[in-house]
Order: sequence, then structure tokens, then C-alpha cells
Amino acid sequence: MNLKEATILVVEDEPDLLEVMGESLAPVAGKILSACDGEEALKSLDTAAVDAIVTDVRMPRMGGVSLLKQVRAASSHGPAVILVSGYSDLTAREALDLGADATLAKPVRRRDMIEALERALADKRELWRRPNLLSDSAQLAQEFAGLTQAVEGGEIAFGRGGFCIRTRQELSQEPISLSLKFAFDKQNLSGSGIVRWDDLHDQEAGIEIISLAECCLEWILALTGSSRQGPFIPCHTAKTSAPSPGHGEAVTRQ
Amino acid sequence: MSVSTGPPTFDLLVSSVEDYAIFMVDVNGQVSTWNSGAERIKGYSASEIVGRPIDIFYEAWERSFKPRMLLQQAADSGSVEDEGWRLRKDGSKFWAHVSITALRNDGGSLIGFAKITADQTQRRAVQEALRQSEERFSAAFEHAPIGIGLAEPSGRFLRVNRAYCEMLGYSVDDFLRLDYQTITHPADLPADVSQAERLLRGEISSYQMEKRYFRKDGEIIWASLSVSLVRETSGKPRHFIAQVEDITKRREVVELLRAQTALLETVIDNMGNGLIVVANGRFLIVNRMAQEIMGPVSKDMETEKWRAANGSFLPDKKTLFARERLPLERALSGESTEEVEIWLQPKDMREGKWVRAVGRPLFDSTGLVSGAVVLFRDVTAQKSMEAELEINRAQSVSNARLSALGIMAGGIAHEINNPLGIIHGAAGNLLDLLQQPNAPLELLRKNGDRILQTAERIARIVKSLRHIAREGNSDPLRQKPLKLIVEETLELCRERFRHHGVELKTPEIDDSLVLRCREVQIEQVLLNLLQNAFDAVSETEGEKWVHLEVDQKEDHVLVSVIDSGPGIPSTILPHVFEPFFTTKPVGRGTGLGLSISKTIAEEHGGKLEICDKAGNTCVCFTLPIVGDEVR
Repeated sequence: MNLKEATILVVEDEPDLLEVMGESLAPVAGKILSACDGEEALKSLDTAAVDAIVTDVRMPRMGGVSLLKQVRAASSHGPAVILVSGYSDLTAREALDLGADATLAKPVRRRDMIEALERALADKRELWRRPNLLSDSAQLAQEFAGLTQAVEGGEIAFGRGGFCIRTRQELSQEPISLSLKFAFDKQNLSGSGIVRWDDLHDQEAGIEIISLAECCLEWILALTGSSRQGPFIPCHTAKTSAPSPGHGEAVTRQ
Repeated sequence: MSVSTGPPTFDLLVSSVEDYAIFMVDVNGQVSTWNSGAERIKGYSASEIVGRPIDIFYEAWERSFKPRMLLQQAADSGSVEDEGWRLRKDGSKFWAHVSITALRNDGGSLIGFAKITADQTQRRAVQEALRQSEERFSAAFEHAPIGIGLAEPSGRFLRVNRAYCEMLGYSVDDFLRLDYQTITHPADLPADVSQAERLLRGEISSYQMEKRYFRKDGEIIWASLSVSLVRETSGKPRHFIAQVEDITKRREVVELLRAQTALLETVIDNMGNGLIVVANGRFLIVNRMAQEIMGPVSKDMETEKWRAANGSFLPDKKTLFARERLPLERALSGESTEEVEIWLQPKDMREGKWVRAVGRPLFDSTGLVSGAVVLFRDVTAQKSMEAELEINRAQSVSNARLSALGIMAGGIAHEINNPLGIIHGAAGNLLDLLQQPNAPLELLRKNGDRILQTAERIARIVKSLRHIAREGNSDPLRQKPLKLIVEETLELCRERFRHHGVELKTPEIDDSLVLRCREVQIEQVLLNLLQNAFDAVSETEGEKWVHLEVDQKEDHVLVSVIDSGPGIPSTILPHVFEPFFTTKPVGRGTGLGLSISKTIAEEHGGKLEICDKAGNTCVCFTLPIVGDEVR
């Protein structure tokens, strides 16, 4: 879906900021709705068809995380949710695991917000089919016996927008090209991604898929599904059962 | 024997014997002759008695049988002797020794009796006295509670009493085969023997010593010995008299006492504290540490001497301690003192010392003060350590404030990030609008205004932050309306409360409510209280609120911070004002918050208390306010 046609719900408890965000999205988005906290946002969702939500994390009454959980619990094809977090509220790893489509840090650059919205609204096939513009970037290359073994063995875990992978490779938070071979499945995940987070301690990294080669596109689309439920990128592979430090603390059980 | 025919010289002899009554009695028991001795002893003249029966010499009760019986016995066996009481003419009694001899003629027929009577009253009395004396001595000797022994000059025992036997475990027979040398411990023997020899030589009349004896069973006992010598009339030594008392038990007690005294002295001397005991104007006890601390003081020294130059000063090190205020003097007047700090520097002491001393009076059994005990210690090193600790504490306080600031930083970032977001967004909007050819002027101005206002808002937060981050403890006291203080504080936390869904209710505060304070410190306290309240409620379920209440009283204002949190458990309530006490996780608080807050409140003449308000925790911050007349 094109941002131009989309209805965007902006949730922010700071009235001035809410207004500014609305104003900055107005020229590019179809329709802007606003709410001052999670509860008000849920009410808006009852009365209007919303395609994407941009919400602050910390708000009185109901914060962004609760809102996200409720939206996801309500429907498997609900609106995209972009979490805007302030200082140390929530890490990207946690937000993406909770099912957010993207996270933005305050203060939010207008361009970043628009880009995130466009990506979140876009059809996954169209989005991933875009040509790989990366040429001589760093590469994440790994070979697995097979997908099942890799998943069950804790080597990799897929979310609906990317994957968490166990790797000894030190990854920069830049776009990288991907080459993951699954011998048994005779599949090769080839394309590009962005390292959303990496954890040197657990030797895990969370990678969002940016583009895919035609040869593996359908396979990955099938693997990641079309639902909006489940993690966007899981915060762990199957092997690391222990939650990563800080995870439980910031995502307060609201 | 025939009296009538005897030679006249013999008759003369008989009649003139005065010490014996010699007379004859006929076969009928009647007196037939009488001599002068008989007259003297019995009181009858010859004419009065001759021809009368001898019965009258006997006491009435034996008169009927005794005279006849005696005569019969004399007749039967030739003679008889008797002793017994007899009567004089005047009826008085005398002790008589009587001998009666039967007189027979040549044909063998009984013709009468010769009777010789001696008055032995005197001798009998002496004998009786002797007998009684001997009995008494024997009893005293035998039953004496101490051992008594008589020994030959050679040392062999002649007689020992029961106590002596029991003491050494010998029977009397065994004992009498021994001499004192055998039963005396070899170590004590030379002294004993040499004393005994001096006694024998007459150089001394008696001697005493403590010595050891071997008991029959081999055990050694201690005894106190007292020896004297009995001599014959000629001066020749007859025997020793030894009096012996078992003092083993007594010695054990004395030994124990000595050991305990020694232990006590050792303890007192090795105490880490100085101890002096004064009684009767003298130092009775001065232990080693006391000497070390006080310098020229020793046992038995007169206290007056020490008083003259005791070198005790008040903590200013200059003013002499008033004599009657010294712990020793106060204790001597019956007072138990608290610990007193003294700067001690007598003239000949090169470096002074810090001493802390406690005095206690000593009472005798009647309850009167009989002396005093003073316990004291050198705290010089401790004082310098305390000074160091004080510096450390001040640094900790400073660090704690910095750490509190660090905690606050998270909140502050939030406070600033939002307005920053507004500016950021508005600026972006402005740039967008500028690219549009017909951008509405209204929108342009709106965004410009917004940027300006929001920047000012940030400036206010920064100002508050800069303000509160200062030490503030050396600021002069200034008059400041409470309203401004509260507003500036809220500037730093309002957003945080809002963003965590914690309702922060604050009252309208009257402008005229003015404090005289170091405003930074008061703001720090308020922020700390609000922070605590926030922490208490932010993690709880359900309703979350913090209320700030202001209650103006006559001369003070009560600022209360009440929260909807779970309350402070009664177990930790007594500790919340202690420095470094914290219930917060590591990194979130060092626990100096409340203790510093309390100190600040008290420095301002106010107080900080925790109370319960309808089940909710309420921290009450009381501060004096400035009255109209002062302003």
C-alpha cells in the first residue's frame, strides 16, 4: 500500500509533538489520526480503518508496548506498528521481538519516519523483490545442513521480517549482503539485509531482510508468512532460552 | 603386847605423841587409854572419853555397824586399816586413817585393841585437787581441736592427742614410735630442728612456724606449728609441747586468692583502657595503660599531687578543664559520669592526647562514697580516623548526589527529549514548507513560535538541572517563595510522572509563603522525595498517584509527599533514615537520599518524618516560614 493512500494513527502524549508529527506526515500520508495515549488509540481503531500506527512508548494510562500487544492480539492482519522510544525505554531487539514493524528513536527524523512507514505498508513481495543495490558491502555467509536442523539446532530463527542468527561474525550496523545456504533444502537465501541489533555476548544478531534474489523469494515468503503476528525479528534462536539481559526489565508487564 | 606392864618410857612416848591419836579399846569397844594426840585430834580429854564406846567417833549412819565390824575384822585377822570420815567432839568431821590391832594376852585371849588414828584431812584435799587437775588437763589435751604432742628432747613422741593423730592418720601407738623429724618434710626440717635446738639451749622460750608434714598415707599437709619446752625443777629439759594446726585448706584458699589477685592485676594491667582507682586521697590502682596515657602517675601517689598539674583541657585545647568537672572529681562526689572528652597535655608531655574518660563512684557497705574508678582511653588515633571518615563521608554524600543525578539523568533525558522532538519536528516541517511555493504564512509562524517556545522550555529545564546539580550547602540562606521552589523542582520530573502514567497532583501554593533557605538544597530534598514516591508507585499495579500537599501552619509549613505505593514495611521503617540504607536495586540508589534529606531539613530548622496517611506512605517535610514582620 502506498503511504499516500494510507491512514496513519499517531499516538503521542505530548500535544505539541503530536501536532508536529501530524503536520510533518500530512503532506505525504493519506489521512492522519491522532491519539494522546494507548487507550485513546484503541478507541480510534474501533471506529476507523487504520493502516499504520506510529506510537510513543511511554505514555500515561496506556503506553506503546501495551498498545502494540493489544493490536496484535486483536487481529493477525492489523495495522503496522512503529514504536517511537525515548531514552532507554526499549531496545530495538525487544521491540522487534514484540512484533513492532520498526522502531524509531526520539527525536525522530521526518525522513526516517516516512521511510519506516513506507516499508511497513509495502507488500512484502514487492518490497523484497527490489533490486539489491549493495555491491561491495560486507557479507554474511553461512552454510547449514538444512532449515529444520538449523532452526531446531538454534542456528537461526525466522520472524516475519527477518531472522535472528547465531554467528561469530562481527557485524556492523550497516546493510550487508546475505548468503545462507541450506544444503538439505537446496535453498540459498541470497539478498541483502540490515543488522538491527547484534549481541556479541550471545553471538546473535537480528537482521531485517531488505531484498531477496528471485530464486529464494517465494521460499522465504512462505517461510515468513503474511500474518502480522509473531516477532518481526525474534530476539533469540531456539538455543538461547534465557532472555537477554535487560529484556524483561524494559518491557514492563503492562 | 601388854600395856599395863610396859616400861614407863614407852608410855611416856605414846602419851606425848601429838600427830597420832593412840589409844586402846577394850573388848567391849570402850576407850581404855587416851594420849595427847588423841585429845588434839578428836577434841576429847582422857577423863571425858575413857570408858566410853568408840561409836561416838563415827558418823551417825554407820555408828551401828562400822565400829563393831572393824573390831571384829581386827580380832579375826590381827589388825585392820580404814580410811573415812570421823567426828570430833565438836561434831566437825576430819578424814582419818585408822589402824586397829588386836591385843591378846600370852594365852592368846583377846584383851582389847590398839587404835592409831591420823588426821589426813589436809593431805586428802591436796590429793583431790591434784586428781582433778590431772583430769582437766587430760580432757583438755585429749579433746583439743588442734593437735597437741609431747615429745622428748630427742624428738620422740611421748604423748599425742586425738586431733594430732587424725591430722596425720596415725594411731596413738604408731605415733609414739615416731619422732617429729621423721614426719616433717625435708625442706622444712632444718629450720624446725635449729629452732628446737635454740629452745633447748634456752635462747628462746617458744617458736612458731608453718611447715609440711607427711601423713601416714604419704600425703603432704601444711600445718602451723607452735612449740614450747617444759623443764624440770632442776632446769633440765623434760619435754617439748607442740601445738599443730592443719592449715592446708587455709593455704589453698590463700593461694587461690593470691592467684586470683595476680590474675586480676594482670588483667587490669593489660587492659587496653586506662584504669585508675582512687581511695583515701591516693591512687590505689593505676594500670599500665593509665600510666602510658596519663604520664606521671603511679600507685600510692597522692591525688592532690596529680591534681596540681593534671594538664586536662577542654576540646579547644586551650581552656583548662574545671577541676570539679573532671570525671575523677565528679565520681568522687558520688556522680556517675557520661563519657567526657579531654585534651590531655601535662607539662612534661611532648604531644597531647585525646582522651575519653568515664568516672564511677565506689561505695562502701554503708553506701557512702569511698573512692572512685575512672576508665579512659586514648582516642587520638581514632579521632584522626574519624576526621578522615568525616571527609570520606562528605565525599560519599557528594558522590551519592552525583549518582542521584545519574539516576535523574534518565528522567531528565525524557524531559528534554520530548521538547527536542518538537523542535526537531517543527524544524523539519519548516524546511518542508519552505520548499512549497505557496506555503501558508500562518503555518510558518506557528512552527517558528513552537520552536522558540519549546527551546525556552528546554532552557528552563536546563536551568533547573544546573541549579539542582550544585552543592548548594554553602549557599547563603535566602528568602524564596515555596511556590517557585516547587515549580522548579517539578520542571525536572513532571514529564516522567506523566509518561509513566503516575498522576502527580500539586496544590496551588500561596505566593506569600516564603522560606528562608538554601533553595537548591530544598529542591534537592523535594526532588528526592518525589523520586522516591515515583519509584514506590511506578512498578505497582492499579491506581498510581503521588500527591504533594502543602499545609501552612503558624510559623512553619508542612510539605507532604504522599504516594499510592505499597507502603514501607515496618521492618525497614526504622532504617530508612540511615545513611547507605537502600531497598533499591544496585545502580538505582546508594541510600543516602533520605538521610541527606533529613540532615538538610534539620539544618534548616525543620524536620523530615515518615508517617502513615490513611494507609499510604507520607513523607512530611516541615520547614519554618518567614513571617510578615521579618520580611
